[in-house]
Amino acid sequence: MAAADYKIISKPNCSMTPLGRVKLFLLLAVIPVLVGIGFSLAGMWLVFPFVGLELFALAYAFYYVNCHASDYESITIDDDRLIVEKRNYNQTSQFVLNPYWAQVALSGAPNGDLQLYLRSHGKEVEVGNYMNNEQRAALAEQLQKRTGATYRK
Amino acid sequence: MEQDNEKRRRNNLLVGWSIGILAVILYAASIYFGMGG
Repeated sequence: MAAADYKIISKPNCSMTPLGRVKLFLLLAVIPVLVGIGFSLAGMWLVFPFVGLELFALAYAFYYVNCHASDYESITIDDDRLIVEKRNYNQTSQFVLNPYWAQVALSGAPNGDLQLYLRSHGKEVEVGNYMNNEQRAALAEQLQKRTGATYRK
Repeated sequence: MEQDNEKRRRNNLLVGWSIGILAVILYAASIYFGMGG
């Protein structure tokens, strides 16, 4: 088996640039500001706390999306190692399993979503967080061919 | 890797401050104009 015989990287769908996010925030934030000004001029100044709440909730949402824009999950199989690497905000974690012993488990959550796990020697790691059910099922099938008893060096 | 992390951290700070300052300015402007300028 050649080095990095199999590698898959999944990322959240974040196509907008940081500057684009700031511009979109500005565009969306103008709406409650205009509504607030309008209501206030009509005498209903009590709308301001809610305008502020909306503005700061929107700002936090955009900041959160920006912080998680470069998150990813990668699964690499090379030689005798199955490496799962995950980045969440500024933390990168790596799980190394043996592909021969690894088990692929696909289970259904109560909300109808499929959950995909890789298990080996008491370790369990969830993969496919940025995928939909069809993609998770396809990934499970691909991983099943490359792990466990079907694994050939 | 370290450089990437540093770049990401700076980018997050820049975007966070930009959005935060814009939110404060917009909120202050809405109160100012809402009270009749």
